[in-house]
Parts: sequence; C-alpha cells; structure tokens
Amino acid sequence: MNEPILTCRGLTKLYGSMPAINELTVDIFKGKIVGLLGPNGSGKTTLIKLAAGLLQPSSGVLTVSGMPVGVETKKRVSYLPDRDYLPGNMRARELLKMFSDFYEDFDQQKAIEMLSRLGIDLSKRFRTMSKGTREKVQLSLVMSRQADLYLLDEPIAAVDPAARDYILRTVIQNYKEGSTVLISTHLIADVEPVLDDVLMMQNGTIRLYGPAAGIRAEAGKSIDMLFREVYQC
Amino acid sequence: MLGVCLKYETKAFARIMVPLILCFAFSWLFLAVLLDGSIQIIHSGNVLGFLLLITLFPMLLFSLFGIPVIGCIYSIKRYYDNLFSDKAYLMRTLPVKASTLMCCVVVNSLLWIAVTIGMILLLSAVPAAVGADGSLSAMIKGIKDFFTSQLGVAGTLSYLSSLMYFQFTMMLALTIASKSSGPRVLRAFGILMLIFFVSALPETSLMALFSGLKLVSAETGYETFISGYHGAISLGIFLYLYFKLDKHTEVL
Repeated sequence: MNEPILTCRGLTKLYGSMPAINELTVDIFKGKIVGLLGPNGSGKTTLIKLAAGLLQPSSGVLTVSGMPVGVETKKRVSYLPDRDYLPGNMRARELLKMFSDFYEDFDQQKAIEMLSRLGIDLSKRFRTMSKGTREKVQLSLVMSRQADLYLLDEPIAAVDPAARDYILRTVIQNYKEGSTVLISTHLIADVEPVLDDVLMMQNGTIRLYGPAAGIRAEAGKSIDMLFREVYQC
Repeated sequence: MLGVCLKYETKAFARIMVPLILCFAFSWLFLAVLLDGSIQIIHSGNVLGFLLLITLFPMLLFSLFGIPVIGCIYSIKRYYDNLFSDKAYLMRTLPVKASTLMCCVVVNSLLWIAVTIGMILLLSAVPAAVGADGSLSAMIKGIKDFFTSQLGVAGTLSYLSSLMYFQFTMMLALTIASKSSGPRVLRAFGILMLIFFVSALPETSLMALFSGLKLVSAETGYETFISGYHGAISLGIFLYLYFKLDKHTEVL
C-alpha cells in the first residue's frame, strides 16, 4: 500500500503571473484518507482541479496511477466539486443512468440504496431539491463509484453539523478498499478523526505533510489546534 | 464514449428543437390547408383568410430563417455550458476528451439544421400538393419553385455557411475568453468582433482580386464565393479546436 496514487513533481499553476501552486513536489499514497488543509487561497482547490483534469499545469508533472491526467485517469478518479454541478433539469433517476452510462465502475444499485435511505424521490428534478439534499445526491453518486482516487473538494463546507456527520460517515463507509480519499477542507475538527494523513498547504506549497497520528504526537495537540496556531492571522 | 455523448447531446437538442420544428410545421400545415396554400386569398376579399395569412406568414419566414438560427445559438450555449460553466465540472471530468464534447455539439447543430431543412422542404411542397392535384410531381414542382423563387440554392448555402461561420467563430472566441476570470461572454463578444474584422479584410481583398480576374462575377455568384470562404474558415476553426481544445481549455 505504499505506492503513490497521485504524484506531483515541480508542479506549478499560474493564474496570470500569480502562482496558485508553486513548484509542488509530493506523493499521495494508496489506501489513505488524506486531509488537504490550508487557509483560503492556499492552493487546495487548484491542486484538486489539476488532478481532476479541469486545469492544465503551467509547468511540472502531475500523474494519477503513474499516468498523466487525461481520459484514462478520469476513469479512475471520482471528483466532487465545491458547488452544484449536476444539470438542474435532470431527475435523480436520469442522473443515475448518466453516471452508469459514462462510468464503468459506477455501482447503480449502491447509489439507489443510498438515495433510498435518504428518502430521496428518484423522479424529482435536481434543481427542485433543497441545498442539503443536492449535496447528498452529488455525494451519493460520487461515492457509488469504485474509483482509485476520490477527490472531495470542501464536501462539508456548506451544510449543517448533522449533515456533516452524514457526509463523513458516507465517505468512510463507501469508499473502495485500497483506494485513496483526498478531502479538502478548513473545517478540521470535523474531519480530523477520520484522517490517516494530513497535507497542509500555504501559498501553493507544502507547509506540513505526514501521518495525522504522528503530527498529533509530535505537536502534542490536535490537528485543529495546530492549524489554528500555524495559520493564525 | 462518442456514441453515449451523442445520445445525451441529441436529447438535449431535441428538447429545444423538436417543439420548435413541430410548432412551425403545424402552423404551416394549418396555413396551407385552411387557405388552400394560395396567395389568391389576398385578391378574393376574404378578410378572415387575409388575417390568418398575415398572421401565419411571418411564422413561415421564421421557420425558414429562425429555427436554424436558434439551433446555432443553442449549440454555442451547449458548447459554453459543457466546457466552461459549472456544468463543465461534470462534463470535463467524464472520461471523454473535450474535443469529443465539441464534436457532439457540432454534429447536433448540423443534424438539426438538416432536419429543419428537410421539414421546410416537405412543408414548402404542401401548398403545391394541396393547391394542385396533390400528386408527387406537383410536390416536387412545389419544392423546386419555392427554392428558385424564394431563396435559391446558392442563397441557402450562403445563409447556412454564414450561420456555421458565426457558430465556429463564437466557439473560438469563447475558448479564448475562457482563460479570463472576468465577464467571459462580454470578452468573447469583443474577440468575436475582432475576428470578424480581421477575417473580413482578406475576404474583401480576395473578392476584389477574383472579380478583377473575372473568376467571380454576378453571374457566377458572389454568394458561392462567400459560402466557400466562410466554409473554409469554419473548417479551419473546427480543426484548430479539435486538436487544441484538450490542452487549452480550463474550468476556472
């Protein structure tokens, strides 16, 4: 399980002349739940979007399972963006069909079970659902894939504490064994208990990277407390 | 995956285009059958018939020119949505190349233009078929008469190539503007104007040159020249986008 799933070598992403990711070199390993932590503008979302294939690196190398980001890696990566991204006019049932048409690793039965447990009407259009329900539908679809890498960008940022618990429980219970989950968030206290590794970013570079338990033991405090200390304004 | 993409794209286009085409088909048929497809109604003093004629005739014109325009604008919207809007977070993470997504939009825009033309051809024959003896020869004559008298083949081609030229130019402008984080549609419009201006210079120069060499004239058809010129630019933009899109589009 010590093979890297996501590898960055001198990865740089510029927005104009401003670097969002700056000469980043890091390996993220298989079978881990990794917390991608950092303040706003530290490069978390940019890194996730680069890995998902939504952005192109300005320089450097980014690979998923040893392959440059492209059609093949998209078959192995399950991505949840930080916004509503599913077509509002589609019904939940149609979304299930769409995912199963495009992704060979999509487990439609599992998705139906997850949505049924939440009491979501499959004939309802996506745009008519409440914000919390839309988040849950998106998460259910993303976690119903048997992917090698799950990229979750701020999955608990815009929901109430009860929904946060549900989302984290869903992630833990449904990700494929041996796969990697990369969760970007700044609500560290909520995700800390489930993290294996922590990658803290600042100004597009790594501030701290290692096993969560090791960091906690070394600092003598929780990751949340350490984060507040490191990034205090 | 091309087939799956095409299926979803065609469904999306059909939601807009089928009701439009059916709406105008029924209007046209209504016009043709009720008024006996004849312009003689104007001279007959039938006020109701005349009112129906002047109400429904704009629909005929709209179906001729408007539906392909709507198809063209909708395909630009689909292109933008699929590649650059929030929906791109779904479409661009599917295991499909960006160029495949573009091709699906282009294929659909051509497909629906073809369907519209087919429908117009059929409908244009209805007045002749109803008004005359209803035979197949009358129908064919109706089609021929309609196109020669109303638009002409060169005119139709010129109109369609101009539409495609606008569509591809706008797609290129949106792609270039996608790099900016500001108001992209506005920026795209500015780029579009610039491309039109730049491409108009060689167009007028070539036209003047060809006219001077007597390669183009009013008899041989300026419209054919314009169709060819617009067609060539559209093809060039399509090939450029096809090969560069995957590396040059970003969802900011």
